[in-house]
Amino acid sequence: MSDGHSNNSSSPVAEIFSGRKRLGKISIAPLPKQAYRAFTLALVGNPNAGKTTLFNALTGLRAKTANFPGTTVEQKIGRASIGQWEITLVDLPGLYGMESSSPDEKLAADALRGRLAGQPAPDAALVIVDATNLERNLFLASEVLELKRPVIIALNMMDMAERENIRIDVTKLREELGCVVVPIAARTGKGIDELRQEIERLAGCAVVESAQYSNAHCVTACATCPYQKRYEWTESVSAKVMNAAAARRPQRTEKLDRFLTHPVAGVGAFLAVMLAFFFLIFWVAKIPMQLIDHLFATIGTWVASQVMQPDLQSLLVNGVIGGVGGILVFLPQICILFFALSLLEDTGYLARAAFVMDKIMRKLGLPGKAFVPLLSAHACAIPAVMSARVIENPRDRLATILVAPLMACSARIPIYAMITALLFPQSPFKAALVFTGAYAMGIFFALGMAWVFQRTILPGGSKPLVIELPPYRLPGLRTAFLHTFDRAKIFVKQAGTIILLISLLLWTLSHYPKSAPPAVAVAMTTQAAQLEKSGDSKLATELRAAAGHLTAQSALQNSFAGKIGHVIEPTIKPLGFDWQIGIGIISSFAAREVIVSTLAVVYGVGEDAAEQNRKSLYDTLRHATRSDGAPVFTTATCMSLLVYYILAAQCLATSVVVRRETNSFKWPLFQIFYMTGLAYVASFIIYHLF
Amino acid sequence: MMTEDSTNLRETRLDKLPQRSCAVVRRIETESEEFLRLKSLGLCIGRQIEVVKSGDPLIIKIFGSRIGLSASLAARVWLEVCAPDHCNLS
Repeated sequence: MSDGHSNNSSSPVAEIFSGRKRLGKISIAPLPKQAYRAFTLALVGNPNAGKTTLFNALTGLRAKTANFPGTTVEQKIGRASIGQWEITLVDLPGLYGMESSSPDEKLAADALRGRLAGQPAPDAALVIVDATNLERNLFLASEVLELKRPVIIALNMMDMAERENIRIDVTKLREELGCVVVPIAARTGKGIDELRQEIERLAGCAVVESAQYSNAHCVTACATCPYQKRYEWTESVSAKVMNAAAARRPQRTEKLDRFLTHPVAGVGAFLAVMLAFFFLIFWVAKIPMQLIDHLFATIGTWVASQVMQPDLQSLLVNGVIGGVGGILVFLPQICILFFALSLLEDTGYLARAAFVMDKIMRKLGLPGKAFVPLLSAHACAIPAVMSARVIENPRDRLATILVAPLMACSARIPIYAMITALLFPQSPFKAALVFTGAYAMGIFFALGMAWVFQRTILPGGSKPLVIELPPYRLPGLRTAFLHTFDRAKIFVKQAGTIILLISLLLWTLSHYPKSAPPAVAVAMTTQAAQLEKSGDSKLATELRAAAGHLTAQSALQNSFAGKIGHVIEPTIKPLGFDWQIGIGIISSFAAREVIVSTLAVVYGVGEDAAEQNRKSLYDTLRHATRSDGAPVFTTATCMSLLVYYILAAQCLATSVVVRRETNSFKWPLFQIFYMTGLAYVASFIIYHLF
Repeated sequence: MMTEDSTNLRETRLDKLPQRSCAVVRRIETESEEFLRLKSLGLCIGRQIEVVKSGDPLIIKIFGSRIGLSASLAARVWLEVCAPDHCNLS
């Protein structure tokens, strides 16, 4: 990087710079050198103009994502050391014009004008303009120039423009706009050094006079249709600086779109893409997920061997390591999902997917793009809720977030497996049928509830579609990696803080108050010791294990969780559940699948049986009886439990993420209430039908 | 410029325009918030557009960019169809 004023007078930027001086448009008084003056530069531009790529090229990993205060709209803030300056770069949401109705665009415009409380106006604006679509992009540029602040225009996608035979006279464009224009190709990094030099120069000026731009044509005649006049101006400027006649508009996009936006073929292509997408987050993610699972199990075993105090051991192994591990295991799915999503968005396909699905999804009160989160929810609701950000409209996004957790996530699979095994041990076909039915029911209720919300709490339906279909382009891997890293960071932060707290709370509930081991278990241990003395170590080990299971069973029954199980029993009795299932439901708040290991403990098979010996667990459950001797897991209870687990809101980790994404406690609470209410009613009906 | 009468005669709604036709926007019947975005995308009075794909949703081309929009929005836009070969959009 150059350390100051460019001495390379042959570079185009230096030429622009000297030209600007000659024109007398901007007067610059150099500052005495001083270390690290804060300078804020706002990055603005149309969506699809390559804003994120440029932001990443300038800041790299030194960026963090934060919401605008009090909203769920994100802005990225990055730092870049340019020369001796520490530049704060703010990546504002993409916008087409300064007068907009969408919250994202409004916030971007307000931030630029310095109208946001607690966020002063940026020192300068870096406007990114797509060289292949100058007429449209200059619209926003001219509005930003009218703010009378220092502006640098980064004329991006110059490589694409060249390929399309679009020649732009940069010097002429600078004269027309009265500000610095730097031709770049953010994706290849071309022109970035020159851009950094310009930023450095701008930051180094004591008094920077704003860009000298006046659009007299617009100022006088804008009263009637400001858009019309401004577009006439952008067109005339484009005509002056660009040889549009020779331009070869690429035919590739048109040909691809004929197929990908076709009402039938387009939907087919969409389903194929989504199938591949699902395959990635469901099956490919399995390998790293097993590795993470294994890693946490190893850490747990190691910690258990180091810490001998039983309470502390259980706290560390089950509460901390088990709790965080149980959530971090979803990290591969989250990474793969956001990586694939970023690639899909970058190629331009996501806009087409929204286009073809819009008509179908609209009938349910959801936008076309809702398909992505709803599909992802079949892996895990957490990334699904996070990915709802692809939907711009807040109402549509909220509707999607509210229904997404009804989809059968992978944490439900162990429960479905347990129940189908209890119901149809001899008939894999019937078991498979019930399994499929459980998935279908999740989808049916999710879409049904979206439809209900449209007619009740979220009226107005999904907003009519307006979407730009950008030209197809090769996706940027760097952008995808950084986006994935960003999302993963947010998730890990949540898992490490609030989700850890929830896990510790649930651990406490199931471990305290402590109770003495039952007399039978004590007697068995004593007997085991005697047997060992007489040499029958095999029988002794078996007896010890049985005593251990009895102790664990009694400890859980006497814990807070056990007491809560008894307290809620009257409430869940109409669904066919007893207090033992009640304990399982409470433990499911950590993660749904925990009910399987909890039932193993409650019925005295031991926690290990849930992992290693499912058959013994199922046999025990099948023979479990109530106090009156009647079996617990009848067909009616099994079906009721299945329906309950399909519909109820149980995953507190999801609620934490919903709170973050909706920026309110109201919506996650509402979600828990409506889903659990739905589950209660449906289970009640099912229990009494069988 | 047209007189009032002839303008009305030759005006067609955007959702009724056939594929591949090109026209100039004459009137927009609503001030709804979606139109703010459509206007900043270039769908405003006096602009020449081309219908790339008709139906619901439909695709129009303004300048170099392609925009998909619901037919319900397109029904609010009245245009004057250009003579053949008037536009050179391809």
